[in-house]
Amino acid sequence: MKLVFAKAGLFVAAAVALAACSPAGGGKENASASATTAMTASQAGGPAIMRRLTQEQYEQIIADVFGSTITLGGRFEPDVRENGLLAVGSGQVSVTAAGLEQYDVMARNVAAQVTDEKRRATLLPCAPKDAKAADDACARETLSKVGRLLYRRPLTQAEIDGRVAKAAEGAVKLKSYYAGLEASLAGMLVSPQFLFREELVEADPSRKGMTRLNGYTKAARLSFFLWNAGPDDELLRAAETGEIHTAKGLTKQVDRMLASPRLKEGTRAFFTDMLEFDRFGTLAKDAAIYPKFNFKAAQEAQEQTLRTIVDHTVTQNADYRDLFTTRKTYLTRLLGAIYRVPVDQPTGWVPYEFPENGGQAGILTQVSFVALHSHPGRTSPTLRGKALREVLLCQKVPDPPGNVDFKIVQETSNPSFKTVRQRLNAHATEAMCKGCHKITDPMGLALENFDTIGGYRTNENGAPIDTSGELDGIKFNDAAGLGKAVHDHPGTTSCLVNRVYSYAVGRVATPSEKDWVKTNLEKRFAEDGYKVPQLFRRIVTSDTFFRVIPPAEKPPAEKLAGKTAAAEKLIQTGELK
Amino acid sequence: MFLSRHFVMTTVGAAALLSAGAASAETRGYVVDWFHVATAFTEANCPKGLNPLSDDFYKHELKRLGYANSDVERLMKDFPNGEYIPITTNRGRVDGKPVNIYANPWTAPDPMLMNVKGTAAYGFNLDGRSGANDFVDPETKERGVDNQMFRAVGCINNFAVNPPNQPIYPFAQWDLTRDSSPAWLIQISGIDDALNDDDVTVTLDKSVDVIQRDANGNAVADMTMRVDPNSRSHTVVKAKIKDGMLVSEKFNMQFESDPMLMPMFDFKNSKLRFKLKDDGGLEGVLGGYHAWWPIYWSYAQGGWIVEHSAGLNIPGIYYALKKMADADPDPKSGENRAISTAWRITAVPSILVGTAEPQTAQK
Repeated sequence: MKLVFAKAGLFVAAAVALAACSPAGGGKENASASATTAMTASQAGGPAIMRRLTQEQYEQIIADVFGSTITLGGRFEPDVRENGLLAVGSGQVSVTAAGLEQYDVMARNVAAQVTDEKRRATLLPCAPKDAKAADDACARETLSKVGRLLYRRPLTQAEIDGRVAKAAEGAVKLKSYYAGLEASLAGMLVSPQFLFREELVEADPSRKGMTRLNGYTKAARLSFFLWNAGPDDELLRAAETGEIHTAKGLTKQVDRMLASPRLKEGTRAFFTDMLEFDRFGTLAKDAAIYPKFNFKAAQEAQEQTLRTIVDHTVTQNADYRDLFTTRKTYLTRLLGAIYRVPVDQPTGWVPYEFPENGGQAGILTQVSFVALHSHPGRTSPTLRGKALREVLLCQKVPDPPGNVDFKIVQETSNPSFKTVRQRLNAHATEAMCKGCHKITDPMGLALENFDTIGGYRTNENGAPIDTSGELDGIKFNDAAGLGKAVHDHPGTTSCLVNRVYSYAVGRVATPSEKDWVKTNLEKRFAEDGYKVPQLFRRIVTSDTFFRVIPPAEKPPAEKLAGKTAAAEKLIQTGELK
Repeated sequence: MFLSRHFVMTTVGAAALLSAGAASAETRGYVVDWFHVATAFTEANCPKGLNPLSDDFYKHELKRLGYANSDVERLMKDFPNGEYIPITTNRGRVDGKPVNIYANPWTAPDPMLMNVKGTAAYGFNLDGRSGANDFVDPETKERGVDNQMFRAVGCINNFAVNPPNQPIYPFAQWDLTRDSSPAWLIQISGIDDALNDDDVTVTLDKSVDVIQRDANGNAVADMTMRVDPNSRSHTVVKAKIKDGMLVSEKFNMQFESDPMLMPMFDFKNSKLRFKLKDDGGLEGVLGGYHAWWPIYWSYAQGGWIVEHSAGLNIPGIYYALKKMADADPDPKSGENRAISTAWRITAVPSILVGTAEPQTAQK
């Protein structure tokens, strides 16, 4: 929290101040944000944090609140990956001046569309008595309803009063109720309360001296984790009534959310993050060598893997580990061309099962993995092995030293080293290279039947490809063997559990949480047959998920008060909306 | 239900598998990537250079219509836009009244385009004779090549290229239609030896699918294409492969196409040859007699847009094709209605489904 405050500057300071000081959300739950005492070591939990909405979350909230026809018309700032997840990075980023301009553009665009004459009757709950004048009652009703969904909690009295006043001011100046409402709504959309997910805490009445997330924050954590979207009305109602704090109430909501089709979106969001699919945005292949790989192929490659994962883990509720061995997937015509298999449906996706001895088995052999972890014009067993260890086993592979001579591995036309195995062997004779390559190449070489875009091949430069390899003592002969080794590797499931937990809480697990994840969650995951939805359930119904360790040091109250006053002043003057 | 590769293959090839017995011959499928007039530019082919471009011949036409030099300059000063457009578009005359020249090319005098004078042209000896009007194919060295269409248009700037470069307007015609027009498919079956085989079968079909583009704008290779079950574009012909070059027997062929290009190709006494390339694709030539009026119309239908931008003197092409036509004489007038032609074809591997033969992509 303190880190966020320091990085984000005044813009975020306003939100932090609100998070720390404002009884946002009102009612009986809000009064004890400052109630903190030391926790015992046996009670797992972590700090509440503030996270910037991801692009997908922003888009989803706008679509949920105003409909999917609303266009944004701006660009999002890049997310930052920390500890393997953008979700963790989202708690460590602020908004730059340029980024704020873009948020402002989008906010104005959205507000203009919502109040547009064509949409207002559908999207707004009331109409003013006089469209050319202010109407505080109608503005209050509108902004209260919309604000509850945008801020993921009811607006405080001060907040709603400020927004209504802003709408009235605009209506008077512009002689239009809707223009005033548009300005006020735009301000709401660019406010930190919307752009950042504040996590507000309160005293935990069931554990003396402990704190927990308040009801609205719990609702938001649940919905962003399971649905990658803001909480819906039902979830906000459960927060408002306090039902979400009861085991029965929480279970009811979790049951509902896990049964919802939106669980697939949440699952997709997690695996998109874990598998680093954001990197497809800058992935390029040498079109002279691999013309099949275009922008569409890159998009469909991601979609193939996500469909495979969602079908396998959610629809089929199957063992997570089998993702590394399954031959069942979904294809388009274009992907069929890359894999060189028939897909006779002209558009869209068809379920497909690769033949048993066809080479492809598991998501490691899909275009998304082998293409993402290859160079533009040549494969890289090293990058593939590194990704396998870092992304799927949560291990850290050291970066290469700065003075490595890559000449041998880059010369794919060297007649003395026709295959990449030969080139890597020659390269790794250097002592400084050998150590790292030993932990990446043996499994990456097993994927050499797949060229840099995922096309199947059996030779390189006319020389037969040797796909034998090893993963932590398990030897295999090909990609299918590698998939089986990953399936059986204890790090595979352990990594997933840790990643899911970090993703859910938006930060690296604290030592107490790590201990709980290892001794409890990983064990339960195995007992549950490695079912991902059940893992989600275990997390969100645990005490640990919502338990909060307060910040070790609070920002000085007088400093916060000063920042808050300054921020409020800027809001009032319109310099900061 | 998950479809396995085996399931799909078995389905599409069931009939063939049931009847093929112990057949071990290979069948290869392709989708046509590019199709356009086969051009062979040499200085000897056009010893007086190339025909003038549109800004030049429009001035000439305006003067022919009686405009003074100063008027011509004024009308043409904003070329390619300008006041000249309705005048040159309607430069035909019927009973002294202007008519659209593209629909009525005979209503203006022959502008006498310079035609090919040399001996190099792609194609085949279609009539079995070798005469003064025939060419030598630069690729196969075959003599007596009949390709009067190339003789007619070969010295127009747009066509003055050699492969792998493509003549610009025919390239554009094909390129503009291929994203919306069903693809053309080629199947070569009965391949026992891809280098030398004296009995293979070439089947030409239209697809019900359009191609998808790769990163270079060409057709994506190895994509599944469904064969149109309608027989109107279905042609089967025997061929031989010698030293990796497939040459077909003579055949007649109708092929439905895009109106932007030609609504229906209708080749008579045709031949095909393809080089089976190392990258799995095909490159070759289709030669045959074709009615010349549809060829003319494939250019003329674009009117002023095509004439001025591609530099094609449309009535000039009309007269050239008419004069060079060398087949199918009209019983009454004696004028030839067909012209010998040659077209360059490149194709990439494709998985064809809905055929009588099981298909495999080439690894």
